[in-house]
Amino acid sequence: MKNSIKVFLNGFIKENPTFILLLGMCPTLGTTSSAINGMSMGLATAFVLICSNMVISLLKNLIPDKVHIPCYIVIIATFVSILELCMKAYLPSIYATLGLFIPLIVVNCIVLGRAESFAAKNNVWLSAIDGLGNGLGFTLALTLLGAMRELLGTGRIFNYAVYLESYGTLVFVLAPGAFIALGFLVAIVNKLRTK
Amino acid sequence: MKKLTSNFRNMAVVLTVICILAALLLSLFFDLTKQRIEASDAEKRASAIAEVLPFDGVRIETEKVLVDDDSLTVYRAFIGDKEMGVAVETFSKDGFNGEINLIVGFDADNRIINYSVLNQKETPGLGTKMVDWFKPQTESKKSLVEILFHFQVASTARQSSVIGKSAAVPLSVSKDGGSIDAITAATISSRAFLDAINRAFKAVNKEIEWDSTSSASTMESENDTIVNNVEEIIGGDCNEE
Repeated sequence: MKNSIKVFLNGFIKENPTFILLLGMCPTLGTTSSAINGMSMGLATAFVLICSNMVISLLKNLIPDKVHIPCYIVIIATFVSILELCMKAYLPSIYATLGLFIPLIVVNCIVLGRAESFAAKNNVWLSAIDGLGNGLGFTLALTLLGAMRELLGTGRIFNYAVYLESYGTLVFVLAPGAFIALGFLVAIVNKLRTK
Repeated sequence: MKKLTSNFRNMAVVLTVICILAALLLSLFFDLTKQRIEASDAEKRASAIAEVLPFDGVRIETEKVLVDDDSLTVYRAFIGDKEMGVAVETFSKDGFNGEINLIVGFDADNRIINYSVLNQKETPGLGTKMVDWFKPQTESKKSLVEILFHFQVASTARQSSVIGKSAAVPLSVSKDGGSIDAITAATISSRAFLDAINRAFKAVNKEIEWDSTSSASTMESENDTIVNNVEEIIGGDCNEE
């Protein structure tokens, strides 16, 4: 149990994929124009991460070393496609905003990275916990970034008006603002961490 | 269990089996979600039609109308034999990030009743405002700061509603000499929106003949598209309002 908590916290905070490892920057910058978009993308990635980690950990001894990357990619791509179909069917409005970025989860380095470095060496339970920790860590990071951009750009958080929209700085909603906001967030997190 | 060695037979068998299983799983989920995906598309369209043609107990007839070589879907609403209005599913290819699809409802005199955006990929916070920008202005909800400090900022009045318009001349943004105020810092998206509306006008009123002077003014305006591109990217200038 103690071990599980350690594995979870390792992915969630200590080696947070976005703030510490700086992995998976494409969806991080691309989908965080609002807090709700960032959170949806984070949860979608968390789902894929948990499922693929579990399956890869189950199959780790059946997969010969020389073909492990193609096998992992097929497994990850299958879960991403399942997720895409389900979102299209049950969450069409979220799918409309995230659309393009969902298939890109396949090549998100966090997913393959955790499969390689954790799931291929550990048992199913710990791999699932690791997927959960990393997935939620990624979700937390994307939600924070999305909330920051939404607040600075449009004066809202989760679509709740905090201050007047006409005083927002539009650049934060656009691509350059994503880089600026991420830079500041990473700086703040690392400052707090090294204290 | 010991790890399988990487000989040719093992590798071929494992990869094949994994791919077959993946394909089976995917086809299963494809079948499970297929109906729901189609239904949610149809639902979205049906609720959009109901929004732009707010009549009770109408019978909808669907037909295709050819406008400038593009085929548009037109929904005619009847009560008994009387035609109450028409909804046109129209589009524009000039959006900032690709195609825009909307449904526009017209009454019997070809005036716009309402519109609903089906699909757009505009910049969040800028072009996405088209969803309600071109409807009559409503009092915006008070923000947290206004509630906490007990004040209210009057929203600036704008002439941007297309509701009730009929087309004597094609609609265009005020920057191009038209009567509609464009979305702040999203002139391209606004032009694309009005382009789609104008296409819908042509679909409901085939006799419509707009003279060439009006199309000349749109030609001219394309020259400063690049300038506007820059404006949209850097977030727009304040003078544009």
